[in-house]
Amino acid sequence: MISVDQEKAWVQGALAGDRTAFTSLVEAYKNPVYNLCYRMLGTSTEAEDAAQEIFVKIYRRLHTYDPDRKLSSWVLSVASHHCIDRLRRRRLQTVDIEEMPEWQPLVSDRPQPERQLLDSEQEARVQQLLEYLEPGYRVPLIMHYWNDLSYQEICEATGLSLSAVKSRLHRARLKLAELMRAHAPDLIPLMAQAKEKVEA
Amino acid sequence: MNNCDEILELISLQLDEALEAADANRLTLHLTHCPDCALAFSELQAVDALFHRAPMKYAPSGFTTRVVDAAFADALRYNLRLGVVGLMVGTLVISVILIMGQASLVWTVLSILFAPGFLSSGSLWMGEFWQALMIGGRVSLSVLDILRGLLLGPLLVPSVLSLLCGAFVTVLIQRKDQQTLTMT
Ligand SMILES: [Zn+2]
Repeated sequence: MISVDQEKAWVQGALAGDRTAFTSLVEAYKNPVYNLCYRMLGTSTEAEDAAQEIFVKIYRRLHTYDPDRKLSSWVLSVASHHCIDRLRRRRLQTVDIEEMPEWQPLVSDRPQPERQLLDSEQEARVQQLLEYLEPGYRVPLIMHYWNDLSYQEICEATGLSLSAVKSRLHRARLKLAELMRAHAPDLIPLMAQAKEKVEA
Repeated sequence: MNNCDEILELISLQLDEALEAADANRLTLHLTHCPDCALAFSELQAVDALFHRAPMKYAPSGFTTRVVDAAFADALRYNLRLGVVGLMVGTLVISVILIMGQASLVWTVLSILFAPGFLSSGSLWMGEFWQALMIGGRVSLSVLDILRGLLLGPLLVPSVLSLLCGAFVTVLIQRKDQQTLTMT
């Protein structure tokens, strides 16, 4: 866990042109920022490009950072806006559910052992599901699940109101459930089990 | 007022552990007698579990160095651009002041440039070549006259000062950037 004082020292050092200070800042935030870019943009190449551009932007705009604000919210706010801009430029519009392409068939039907993290196949489909959400709904979801931000912190990072954050998270989940029900009921055995239990 | 839409929103809050006890009880009660909401609950729970299990994507190795290099190179370019723009604006302002002080000489040059037969002649015939050369010579002399006026005139001190300031700022910017670069 990084202390607030330490972060303030990094910002001040970086503002004075101290390379080591800025390196520490990048080191601390590279994974959250990279993950956000990957989840938003979908490929590692684009994620790396975007993440680099974001840190260049952060360094250039460091003098506009308000030290009373949480550094993580500010960094993630710059990052999410950058990704949304990039998506807008790419004109990658979200696809209607009706237009959704066929899911890639599973490579094998072997039973999946219980595991903490998803395997790469499931992981790819999580990413696929994510990309069907509108960027404005994807951002709060990513911040919630991967960056472990509270509702309040998501508000700060996105500029949305508390009720908007709650409703976007909720609607994103509803949409994901709908997508999974229609296209990937096999994705989690948990879901099928739960369904049987209810119908019984 | 236990309508199902409201219950759905409670489910999301419940998943985020952001539900107050009273609402949590209301939710549990509703789920026991509403199969639709119970199904929605299990589905949303599954979505939640799935995303909680999705791993973090990590930045590739060497990322930090590349990013810091790029940020500092960008800052260097930015500072240089800023310095150059500053110098240009400063020079422009000083030039305007100086030229206003030498308005009569500028007027001389302009009147020569716009004299009949100089700029208006599209192509020069051999016979007019010497004439053009003569006019060119007169323009050059007038420009020299302006320069002489500027250098010897009362604005000599401010113009030299502005040049020195410009040079000083440039050196400062370069030294700061070299400092940051040598820290690599
Ligand atoms: Zn219900």
